[in-house]
Amino acid sequence: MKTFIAFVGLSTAALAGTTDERIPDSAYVEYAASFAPYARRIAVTGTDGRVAYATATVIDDHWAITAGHVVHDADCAVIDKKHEAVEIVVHPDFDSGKLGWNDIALLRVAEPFGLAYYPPLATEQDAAPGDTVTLAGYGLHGRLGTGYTDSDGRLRAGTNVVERHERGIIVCTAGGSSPLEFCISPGDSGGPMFSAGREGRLVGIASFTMNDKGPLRSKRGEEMGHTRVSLFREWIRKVMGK
Amino acid sequence: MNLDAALHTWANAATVLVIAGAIVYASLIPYMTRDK
Repeated sequence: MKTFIAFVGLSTAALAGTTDERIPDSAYVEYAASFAPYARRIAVTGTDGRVAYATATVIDDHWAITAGHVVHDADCAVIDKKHEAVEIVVHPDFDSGKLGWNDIALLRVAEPFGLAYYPPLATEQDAAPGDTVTLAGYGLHGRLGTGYTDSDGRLRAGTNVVERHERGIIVCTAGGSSPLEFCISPGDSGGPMFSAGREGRLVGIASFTMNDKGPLRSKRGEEMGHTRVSLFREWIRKVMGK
Repeated sequence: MNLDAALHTWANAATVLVIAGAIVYASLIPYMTRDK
């Protein structure tokens, strides 16, 4: 019986994380610490009264950016339980019926975030195919082999390599050989994709995962799409009044 | 079967049920949480 219990215990432990099985989950949590000032958890109350959780990225004293599908049906959105959005601006061409279509939104808060530094928006030269990028979010976690299995509300960050650009979307595939291979999962929507390097420009907003092999579980081989921020720079500046 | 053996059998069965329940619960977490 003891042997049986020990076996089940090991199997269950192996199910925790949405990350590379060869790397401890703690490495993803520790890596995320440097992105925590910008990547924030957002609670969205829909017009149906239900609350959903996702991720947003702080880009200015009074502005955060997230995915359009996170807030398009929002009655109220609160960042980190204290910054309630006083204005929610979903891209006018966002279409919830089209995957990743202009999937971007801005949130204005009254109380300033008060950071000394905000990540700059990417230019079109950033995150070219083959570049390594950093992803972060508060979503469900698990291992790339088994898919997401658990939720603890902690921020995790990892890396991936840009595979291609397609219709305003940056596409990456989960399961490559980047240093901290990572795949987004439910709850990571709206989270940042940063370019590598010292400055870490905001190149993408987590939008969706996709595959052609059955249910989506953020497993190895699934593709993920991030809204390409550089294509929306003018819209973002216009909304922010800059 | 004596009392000790019967208790042992029930203890094993209960342990299996608890573990099975935990596994089912863990597999349902993604569907119980509304994350985007």
